[in-house]
Amino acid sequence: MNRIAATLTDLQTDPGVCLLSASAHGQAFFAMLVGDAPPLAAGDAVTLVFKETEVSIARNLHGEISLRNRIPGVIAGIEPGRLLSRVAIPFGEQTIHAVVTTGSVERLQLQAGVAIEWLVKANEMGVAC
Amino acid sequence: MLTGVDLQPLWLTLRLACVTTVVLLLLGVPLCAWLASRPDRPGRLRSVVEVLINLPLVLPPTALGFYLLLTFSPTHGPGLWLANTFKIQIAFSFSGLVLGSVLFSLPFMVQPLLAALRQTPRNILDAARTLGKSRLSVLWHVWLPTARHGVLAGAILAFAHTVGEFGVVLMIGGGIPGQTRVASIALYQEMEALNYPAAHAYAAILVVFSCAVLLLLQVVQRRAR
Amino acid sequence: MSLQLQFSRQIAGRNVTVDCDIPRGDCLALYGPSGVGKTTLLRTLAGFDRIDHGRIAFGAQTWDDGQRYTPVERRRVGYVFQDFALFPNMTAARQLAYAQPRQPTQSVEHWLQLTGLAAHGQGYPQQLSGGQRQRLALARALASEPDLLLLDEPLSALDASLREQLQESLAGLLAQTRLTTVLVSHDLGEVFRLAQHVLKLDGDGATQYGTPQQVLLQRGQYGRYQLTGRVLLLAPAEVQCRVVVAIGQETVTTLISHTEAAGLHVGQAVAVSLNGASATLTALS
Repeated sequence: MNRIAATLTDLQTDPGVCLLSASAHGQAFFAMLVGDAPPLAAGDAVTLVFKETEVSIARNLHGEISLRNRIPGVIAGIEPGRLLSRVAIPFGEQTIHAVVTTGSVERLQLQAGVAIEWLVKANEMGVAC
Repeated sequence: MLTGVDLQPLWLTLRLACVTTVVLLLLGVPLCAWLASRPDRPGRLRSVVEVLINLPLVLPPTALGFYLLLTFSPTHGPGLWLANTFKIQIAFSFSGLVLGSVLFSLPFMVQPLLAALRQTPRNILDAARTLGKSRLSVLWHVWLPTARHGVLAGAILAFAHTVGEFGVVLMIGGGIPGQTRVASIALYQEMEALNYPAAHAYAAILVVFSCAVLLLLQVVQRRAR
Repeated sequence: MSLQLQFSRQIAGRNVTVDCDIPRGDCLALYGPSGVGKTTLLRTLAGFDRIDHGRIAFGAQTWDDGQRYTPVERRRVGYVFQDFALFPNMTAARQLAYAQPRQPTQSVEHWLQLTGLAAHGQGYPQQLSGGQRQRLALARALASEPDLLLLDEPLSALDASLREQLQESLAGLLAQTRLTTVLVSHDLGEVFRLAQHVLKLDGDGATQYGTPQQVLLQRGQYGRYQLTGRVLLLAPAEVQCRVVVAIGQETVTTLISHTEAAGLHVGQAVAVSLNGASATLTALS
């Protein structure tokens, strides 16, 4: 699991669904939650939680995309496997991990030092508090 | 065989056993219900009472009869007071026999009844209480019916034990013919008088009766299961 | 006429504090693993046991506040025991007649009809099936025309298919009678189906109170739902680790990091967290 400490900036609710906005290290994060809204307000500390397999990696991304969590980074290392590879990307003082297919690693020519963007769809982003 | 035998002691024994059993039922049921209530908190009083009830099981019958005789002798103490105030004589009378038999057969009524009452699942009694029923109603409509084999077994045992009793009834009753001379005393007196045919008759009747009682008890217990 | 529970009492050496107000006609579920004292709490509400501190009241009547104490017989509660506690010496109809108050507003036949036992009025408990006994226990509690209905795992003695079916009819009955109800359960489905409020008891004596959604769906992580299961298998799978978890009769397989896998062992109880938005549903015929 990837965990990022963040500060809540906004909370929009609708019965059964709510959209959280948070910021960490100057980056904006979004989480779409199903169920009752958490008892939080802007300024509260939250932990963003998302699985390694829920992180996408893009290189030279152009045009518009609906994914709301889109953070620039530089690859620190790759642990390759036959089908899956684990990509390490520093974020602040911590490291974010992304598990993508080894085919994608080759196609995007990913390796240590390459500048990329990592992306997480808002409904895959969990919030713990 | 029975032609030369005085039937009076047999009728007296039967009457005594019936009266004793009825008295024991009236006394034993509330007593056992009280003893079996609150099994979570038995309390010291309940323990003491249970020990006292069971005392006749180990006490020589003559010892109990002796103290009853001393207590109720019409010449002094409580016996004199009873005779003066209520014109009641306990010693050497039928009521004395009943008193002695009740005390002496009490454990035989209490043991099976108490065991059966304690066997009834607590939830059943609790359920009746949630229905707003008084303790008396719960006892009568639920507890006793579910423990009826214990009531029956207690009554049979108490009846049989009263029939076979000797020491207590001899001490407090004195074996007065027609009044307190029950079958077991008659048997003893006939034997002392070397009247073996009559002694045989009493003894045989008592043996047959005892066998019948044990058989009946077994039937009751099998049906309860 | 609400049920007011503000009290604490010792249960198995732990102090359990309860603070909830149940509006008339609502159902409160006491939920938690077995052995945490759910039944003891229910017996306390019925009046079999006393509280240590605080107050239990129903409407304007104080049932227990340390000094004043209303005994079981006068609380007008209908209690359905886990083992049903039917009177073995009475027929179904006779139990209902015995349960009725002095001036009943409904006939014995009405209660037999309502619980689907019309054909079994003359049957003794030993002659009835498990489901029929359950319904008789419920009918007996209702026939006493109680103010408060207490159900101690009323369906747990039955097999799964029967349980589901009776859950449905129980929900219908509760809605129909508008009786305030307290239900002891360790079945999530039962709680969601029957209760508007839940008091969750944990092994350490802690309690949580709220709606079933508030208390039972969210545990620290919002938007994710947790199912409790047991690890069946841990196996390395390339850069991740494969874990198989049993949840009830079903299994789930997922990938986790080796670091996380290092903290797990086979047989361990785990919470399987499910992203609400990502869950897909397929109707089963």
